[in-house]
Amino acid sequence: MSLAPLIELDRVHYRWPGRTGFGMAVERLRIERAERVLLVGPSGTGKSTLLALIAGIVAPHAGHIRVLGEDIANMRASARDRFRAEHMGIVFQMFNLLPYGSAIDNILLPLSFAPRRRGRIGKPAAQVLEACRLLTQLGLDPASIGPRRAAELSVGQQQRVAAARALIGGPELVIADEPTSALDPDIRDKFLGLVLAEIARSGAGLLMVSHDPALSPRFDRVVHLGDVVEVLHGVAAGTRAAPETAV
Amino acid sequence: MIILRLALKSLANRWLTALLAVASIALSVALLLGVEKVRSGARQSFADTISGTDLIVGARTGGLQLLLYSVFRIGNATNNITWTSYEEIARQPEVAWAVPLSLGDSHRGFRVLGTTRDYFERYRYRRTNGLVFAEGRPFDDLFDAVVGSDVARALRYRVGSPLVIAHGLGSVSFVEHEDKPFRVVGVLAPTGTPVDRTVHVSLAAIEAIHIDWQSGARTPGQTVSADEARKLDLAPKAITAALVGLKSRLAAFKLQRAINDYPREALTAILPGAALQELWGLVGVAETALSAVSWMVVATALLGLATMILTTLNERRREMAILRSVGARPATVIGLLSAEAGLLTLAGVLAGLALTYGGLLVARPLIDRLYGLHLAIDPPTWNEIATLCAIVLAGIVTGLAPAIRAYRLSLADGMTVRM
Repeated sequence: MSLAPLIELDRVHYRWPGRTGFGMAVERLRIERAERVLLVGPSGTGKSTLLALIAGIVAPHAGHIRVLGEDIANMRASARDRFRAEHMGIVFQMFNLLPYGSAIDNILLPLSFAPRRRGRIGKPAAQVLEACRLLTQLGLDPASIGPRRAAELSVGQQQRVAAARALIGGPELVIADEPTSALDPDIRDKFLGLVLAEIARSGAGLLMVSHDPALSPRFDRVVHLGDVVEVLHGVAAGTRAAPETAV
Repeated sequence: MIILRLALKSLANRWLTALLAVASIALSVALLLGVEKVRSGARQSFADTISGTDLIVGARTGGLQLLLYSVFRIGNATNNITWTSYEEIARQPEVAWAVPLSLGDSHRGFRVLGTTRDYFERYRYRRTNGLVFAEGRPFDDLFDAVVGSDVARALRYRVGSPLVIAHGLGSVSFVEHEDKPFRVVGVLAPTGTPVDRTVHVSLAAIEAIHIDWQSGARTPGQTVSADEARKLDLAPKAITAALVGLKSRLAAFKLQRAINDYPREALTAILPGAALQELWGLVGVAETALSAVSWMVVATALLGLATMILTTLNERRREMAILRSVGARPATVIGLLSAEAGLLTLAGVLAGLALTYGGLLVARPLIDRLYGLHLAIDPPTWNEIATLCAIVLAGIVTGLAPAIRAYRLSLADGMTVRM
């Protein structure tokens, strides 16, 4: 049985709102299930926009974005939100957590929007147990960290809680936008190791953006942004200027 | 639900600013309701002061002025009406009863009203309430006086207290009718009307104290003692005004026209209700200004709320990005933000209601005593409830604007929150 790939982008065009004349195009990008891909490239080359497109937070103006075989580019915004809730876990660079909530509240947050992920775990008590298991797995003591307010945690602890939130309920795709850039090198390596181990356990695919090529040995594949994304300048309505490959 | 719990925690985290926003809304709502209560209370109080009287008759003057000086003891009469004219009006077949009023003297800041014993029978306030004696009885003897409840309280008068009437209306008078002292024989129960601040004596008594006076001054070398006065003819020659009750209210207009066209003397007859309407027309502008000011205060409070929400917008953009990343729909996130504004406004409105009624409860006796204004403590009218709902709605809309802005920013932010 051949499953649809995890992510498949096909002739995707996107224009930034409010900044007419700037846009980006992705001719083709394919990521297999359970594949761990590192996306590298300097800033300003559309990394974050590419992630937002794949996550379905923004919609392209043309082209197809298939995640698990479903074209999220053609979905309505609300359907994209539901799809993201069910199938993706997202970790930001920083400010991942709602500062007033406890670590456990933050980890459980996606489950309120994702009935299937919730169903995989079970009753509320089981959900809390799973959140604690993830915390332990990521090297945090659930008894001391779990009930604490997110704002009281260190940056390293916050990133691990964010990873636990992205992983809970076993989504097929974990998207991480430079999750290690705010961390010290030794904490960074440990964090990445723990996240990769848990991803291997759940069988999720990982798409991680970084400007740090030192991380590449831990991934199945490294994609250079410049190879897949064209940044378009001076795109007026209807006409298309000469595409310029981002470096 | 976890998301609501997080929203409440977020609010609790900003409890001080939230509390201040609630307090400012509460104060503005209390002001709005308070102004409305005082306004309607004043109207009701005025309207309730004179009931059951169909016509008020006085010398030719403005209708409003006649009402004010005859019933509310505000201002002065320009002229008197002769006793003969009064008697002729009282004899008309349509007239059920008539009570003469004679004003112009005072007692330590309180007006003195010369009238007949009928006054205590006929005077009605708050629709059907009649005057009740807290103590004593109506005047009987020439030098008997009946005082209103405020007079009795302020001057510590009881039945049997002596009092001296002053000539004219100043609160400190240098010309007194000290040669003819009166004695309190009755104290009226509180009414919440100008009656409380009035000293009542008989018409004959007014004549008696003025018998040796001419043109507002004592006639030199011609003094009449109190005992001598008793023997004189004390039939009144003129009165200030008269309250008239009719057998049928339908006759009011006809009799009013007849009195206004009275050939022997220039007279004015008014319908109390119509004159009150004239008064409302006059004070309406001030009322409108007052209520406009309180609406502006409400608007200011809502602006304060919007400011409070806007200052947290950066924080909110992060919240928005996080909630969006875990799959919350924009509507959910916008709803959360405006629900917060709505919740704060609702809390403010409820606190404002509590403040208004609490304030009324505390201030009512004071206002009653100081201004003779009897404020009713009624549940909010439908009109007021509608106003309060409109304020809550405005609060929700107030929260909606920053929420939509936060959402727009979150679209531009995508996944990274740039600040």
